[in-house]
Amino acid sequence: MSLASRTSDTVVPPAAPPAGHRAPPADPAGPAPVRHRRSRIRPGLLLASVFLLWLAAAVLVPDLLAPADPYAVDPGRSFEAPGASAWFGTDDSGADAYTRIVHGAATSLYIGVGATAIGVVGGTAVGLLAGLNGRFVEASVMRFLDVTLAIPEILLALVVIGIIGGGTENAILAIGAGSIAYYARITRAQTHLVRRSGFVEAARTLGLPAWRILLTHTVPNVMKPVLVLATIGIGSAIGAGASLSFLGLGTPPPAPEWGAMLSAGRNFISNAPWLITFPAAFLVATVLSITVIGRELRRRAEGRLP
Amino acid sequence: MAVLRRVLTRLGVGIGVLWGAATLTFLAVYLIPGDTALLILGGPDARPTAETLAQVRADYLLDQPFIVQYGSYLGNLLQGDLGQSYRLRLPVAEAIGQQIGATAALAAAAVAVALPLTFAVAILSAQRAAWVRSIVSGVEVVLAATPTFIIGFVLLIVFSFGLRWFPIGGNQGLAALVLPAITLALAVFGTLSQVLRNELEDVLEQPFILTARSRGMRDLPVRIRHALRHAAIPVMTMTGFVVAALLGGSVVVETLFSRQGIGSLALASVYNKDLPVIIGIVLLSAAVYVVVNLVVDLLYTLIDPKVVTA
Amino acid sequence: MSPTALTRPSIPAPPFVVPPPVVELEGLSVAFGRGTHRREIIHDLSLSVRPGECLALVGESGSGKSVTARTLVGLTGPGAQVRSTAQRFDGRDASAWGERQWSRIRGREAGFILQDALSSLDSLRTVGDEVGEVLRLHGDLDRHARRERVLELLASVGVPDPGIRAAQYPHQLSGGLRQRALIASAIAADPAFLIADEPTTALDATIAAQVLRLLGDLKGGSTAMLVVSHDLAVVAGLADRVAVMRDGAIVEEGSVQAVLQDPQHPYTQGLLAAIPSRSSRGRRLTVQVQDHNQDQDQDQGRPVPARDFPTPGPPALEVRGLTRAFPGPDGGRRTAVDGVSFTLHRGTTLGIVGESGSGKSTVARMALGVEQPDAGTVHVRGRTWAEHRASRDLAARRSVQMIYQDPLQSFDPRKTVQQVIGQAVAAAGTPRNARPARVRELLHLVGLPADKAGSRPLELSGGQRQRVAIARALAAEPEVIICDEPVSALDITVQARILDLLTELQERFGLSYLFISHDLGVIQHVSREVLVLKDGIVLEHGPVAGVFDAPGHEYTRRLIDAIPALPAPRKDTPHP
Repeated sequence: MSLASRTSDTVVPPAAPPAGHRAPPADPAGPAPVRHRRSRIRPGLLLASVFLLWLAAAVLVPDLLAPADPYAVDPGRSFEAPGASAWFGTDDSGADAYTRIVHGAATSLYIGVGATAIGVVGGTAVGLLAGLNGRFVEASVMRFLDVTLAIPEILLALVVIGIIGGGTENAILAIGAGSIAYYARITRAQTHLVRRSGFVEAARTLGLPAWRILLTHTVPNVMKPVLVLATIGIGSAIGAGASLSFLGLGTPPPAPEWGAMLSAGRNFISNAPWLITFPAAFLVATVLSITVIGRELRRRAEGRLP
Repeated sequence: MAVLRRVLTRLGVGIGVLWGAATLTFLAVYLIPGDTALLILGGPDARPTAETLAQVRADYLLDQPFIVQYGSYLGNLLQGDLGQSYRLRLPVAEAIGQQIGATAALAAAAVAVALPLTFAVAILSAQRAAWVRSIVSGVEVVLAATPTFIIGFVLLIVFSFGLRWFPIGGNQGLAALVLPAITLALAVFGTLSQVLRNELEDVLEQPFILTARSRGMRDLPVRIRHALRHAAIPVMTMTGFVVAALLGGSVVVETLFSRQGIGSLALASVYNKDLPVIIGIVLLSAAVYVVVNLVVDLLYTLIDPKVVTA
Repeated sequence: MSPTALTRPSIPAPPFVVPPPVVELEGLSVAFGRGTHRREIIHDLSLSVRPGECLALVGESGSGKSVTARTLVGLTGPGAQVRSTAQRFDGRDASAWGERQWSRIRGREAGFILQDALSSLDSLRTVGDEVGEVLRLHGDLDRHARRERVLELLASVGVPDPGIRAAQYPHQLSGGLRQRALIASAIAADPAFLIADEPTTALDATIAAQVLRLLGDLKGGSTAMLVVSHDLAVVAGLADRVAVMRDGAIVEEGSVQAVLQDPQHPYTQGLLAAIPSRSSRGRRLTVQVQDHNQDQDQDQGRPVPARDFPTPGPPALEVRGLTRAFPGPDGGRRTAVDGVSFTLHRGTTLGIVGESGSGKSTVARMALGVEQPDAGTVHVRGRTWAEHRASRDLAARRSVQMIYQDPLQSFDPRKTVQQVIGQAVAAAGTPRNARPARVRELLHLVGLPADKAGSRPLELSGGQRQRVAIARALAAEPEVIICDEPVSALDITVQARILDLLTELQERFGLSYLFISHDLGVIQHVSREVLVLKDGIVLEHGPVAGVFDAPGHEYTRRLIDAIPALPAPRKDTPHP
């Protein structure tokens, strides 16, 4: 998806059966449970973990993986095909694509984590505000969110950039602002669920003060699924950041950023396709790995939601 | 009667959303730092004279208090006047009107590919052997996680530069539409198919499916006649996502394939800080969202009897 | 027949020629999963049903009764590995049939009735379409003739105004009518074999009795019927033969009279003894069965002595004129509880019985003090909840606790058993260093092994979760525990253990229970006094004997009549 592929915000499990009705004893061997949710070591999960380890190294110690200067140009070796001297080839100015990809990892992750942090912090604040207060506050906040939901995230990002201009930090702000409504809705729905849950009621009957119930039961149980979804959101935000750079609105060119590299490589797609394939492969691998890990976290969390 | 009341309520909500979107964008522009009059005249580099600046301020009501500006803006909107583009020296409505056809064609073509593909894949793969499901879900996850422009790059490299089946871009003819439309369609398919397939797998475990099978109905008819309608209902709430994916995706796809359209207009307006056009496009997308949701809502009442009679 | 099962001669063969069975299974085994995940859930099972005969498969959850029933019509499910030495349907060899052959049998020669018609009928299609689907698939009737036939069928199962009902959707029908419509759809093609899987489980008692009568009417003639149920009493009036299943095998089979009156297998004996009723008052429901296969959920053999119901002490909970209305669907307000008054005396149990929608859970929540009444008061320790709140009397707040039907939703999913109980122990003012010991003591009291303290409730069985809920309630050192359908979701033997535990704790700590249930048997077993609630109004209130022997209200009489009767045991069930 162009910006933020939010697969589903249905972390919310079905409501408990109405009390007082006969709940038939479930026959566990009954309607043939076809989906095996047992955990085996899945190859996808393993690959994703290995790749994320590489990514962490590229972010923390890029010079260890690629000691050369990512800004170094050498007009004498422009458009060198991938080979022993330049693993992933060189671009029009002779810069080494591998070095630039390694050094670009930090920017991508910076955008992904930064934008998600803005979205989660803003979204949970708004969502808790709506979920914990009276009907009037809630209705106003929800109507406001309806409005922002009517505008696609990428257009919202374009408006923000149209007003404040491009660049890495502005792109983070634009993407983060666009995702606030998403996190706010999840937070509110989850807050409602937790507030009405039996365990909050049980805590009240024990005579615990409201602030303690809020801190020990409500907020942690609201935040858990939000944070799990935020993991997947980091992947989406990285993709969105690369998209903005590709459009020339994110990180500006000389910096080694994957989207910007793809944007530049587009002009040489017929004679130097490696300028597209390698940055694209690393971008997809990054988003995919984070998504796979995030989905695994969600799968594990799902059984434990209130 | 219940249906009519429902439609009217939804219509009211939709108009509210549009008003909210208009107000929000107006506020954003009103509150930005910097001199709007200068922006209109081409930025600080234009070095306009004091008289021209004053003239522009008067023309655009910039010297009036907030409430007058806001009132005049809303009044113009009601008459269909989205204002004047700073750059194109055209009314915004006209600028958008010139481009909307190309994007509508692209979006329609993408939907025409994405929806049948989604439904076919979900119906055929739900609750099948483990290897079928892991292949299908693997493809879906990869497509959903891949940024749209990367999907476009792959298609471009394979089918335009490699096989030379389709042109590399432009708006000329149907052939030029194929790759952009498939790019958008795949982006929509990845996410939509995951949701529909999960829903179908849940529905197929419901007791009424067992009842249908116990009447002697074969597998495929059970999926199509019974399960699909149930699974389609939650998927219809994804319409907002689809609209956003198509509109947002058109910005990227139109840039990648050098096409005319709303997306490239939006991008050009952002480069040039042509705020009236950006706002016009935002309002257009909000209007599309509202209308599509209204239609979906009507479909709901057709599919789910509980909506009307409960 | 499995080797461990106790066989008996079936019904004495009539003098004329015995018709061959409609369905026959020999040596059936069913497994799911592959490799290390493979789990065999049916082992070497044999059964047959003859025309005009009704066989009941009875067992608790996980016994494999539903899977067996589905296998009879080829609906075991995807991924199932089914093997049998012989499977015949109406004399034909069915052991190798695939989807194609079975789909010709199903609907036309075999009808299938599932529990809970709300989820067993397609909610997006009209009742008429659902009933007519069998005719569309198998018959050659045209649209008009099909419609006529659908109306006939609906009328024949006792659906009034079939013309109107056929055009409605399942959610617009009452539970009883829905179940009748589902039965009409199963018998539409006049099949020779009918399977009813828990046909009355989701229904209120009075409706269930009507549906059972309808099934009884269908049984006559040449139809062979298989009834699957967890409830021995339900099948007692319907079946000719009964097969008791456990862990994927039949442990005992024979005529209904023989099995219910003179059970031979210890498991059947335990099942029968575990049924709470008027006659089980004051006795333990769990019998010590010599069986090594019990799950870990059982008590560690602490017997409860037979006892008299305690004489009432001073009032523990006084409810006066409680009224509560909720916003209705059409903007108006629907009165859920209307002027309910009662007094719960110390050390006794007051049972509240009512069907779904009677307002009993709303009464419970108001008595607990978490739902505010529109009018009326709840007095605890001599003061109302509002007064306790104003004076911040936490001890009074803790003196009323609740146990829910679904204990899982009453536990914070992030917390372990230790933390759940520990929180209540701390709230009761236990000093920090004494808390771990107190948690261990509580676990022991409710019969949970100490090593469960580190588990999360999600990892426990239903009975164990309810024990944790009871331990948490006890931790608050309450005077009153409100039990809202605490055993409704449990299997009968687990229900028996929980009821025994509640009784034991009441004696030990002088607890008062407000016990809410739809199950008259449970209510009669536990209560000293009973209160019959219908549409938010108290119809009847008095000692169990008075209310049940001489019901003062027509509705109560119907409730009592709806209790499925078990034949009296020929000899006393064994006591420990």
